Amino acid sequence: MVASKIFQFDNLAENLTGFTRHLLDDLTALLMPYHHESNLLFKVKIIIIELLNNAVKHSGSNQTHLELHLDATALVITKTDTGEPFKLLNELKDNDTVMIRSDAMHVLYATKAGPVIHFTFEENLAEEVDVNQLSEHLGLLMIAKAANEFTYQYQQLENVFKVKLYLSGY
Amino acid sequence: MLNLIKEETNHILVKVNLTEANLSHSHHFKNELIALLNFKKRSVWLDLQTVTYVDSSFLGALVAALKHAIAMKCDVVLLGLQKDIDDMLKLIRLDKVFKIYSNEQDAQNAIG
Repeated sequence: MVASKIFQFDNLAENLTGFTRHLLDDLTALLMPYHHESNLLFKVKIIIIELLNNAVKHSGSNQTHLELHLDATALVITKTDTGEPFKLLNELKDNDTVMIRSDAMHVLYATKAGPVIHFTFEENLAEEVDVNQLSEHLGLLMIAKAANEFTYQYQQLENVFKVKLYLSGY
Repeated sequence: MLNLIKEETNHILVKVNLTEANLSHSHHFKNELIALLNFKKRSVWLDLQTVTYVDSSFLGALVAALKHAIAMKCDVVLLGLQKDIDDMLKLIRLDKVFKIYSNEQDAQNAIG
């Protein structure tokens, strides 16, 4: 099955609930044939909600374009907007990896490869967790943990966040 | 958004009246929860059974409230999580820091 869906969001916090509800209803129907895929809809929900939150909080633009593309191997979710470029873009040299967030549970990394920034994470498996060392900013981490691939690129004056979820067997 | 249901000696039971707990509610939720902790000076057991999803800003608000509660030698306990929310807490490992029970009775049996 190959399918694409495109959505436009106005980046207004007060419209987030209604828009998300409508979008997730659409996605539930689209992904119905993939109900056997372990947690696919659950992961998609997390990713979409956090990408939209990111748009409301950080994009600085009044329009976010969200595209979902499903084929036999993967579901790719692409978010684009015309806001200011992600500041890491100019701070990183090619092949640099930096820690962009660290707390008692996780470390979140960004690695630049050519024009693309890849987000990855590591878990801190220490038995004792100091609650005071927990981050309250969890959005990027949640996307990185739900996704198989999570990247950012500034392309033709647009911020392009791309999230890939593999379908089973690929 | 928060309804006080019951007051016990060591904790209060509070119902969260939201279905989608997202960015548009998280700031208000955090302020209300922290104000309740300050006023009652007891642990808060949060009944979340009507909440169908939470986002990172709401989870961040819960973490902020937990830090505040622990500084007061109290706690924030989560009750009645729907499966997706329980799975989300596990995904980002917040199940390691929150006490989570299916209902008030289970919480009573464990920590009451």
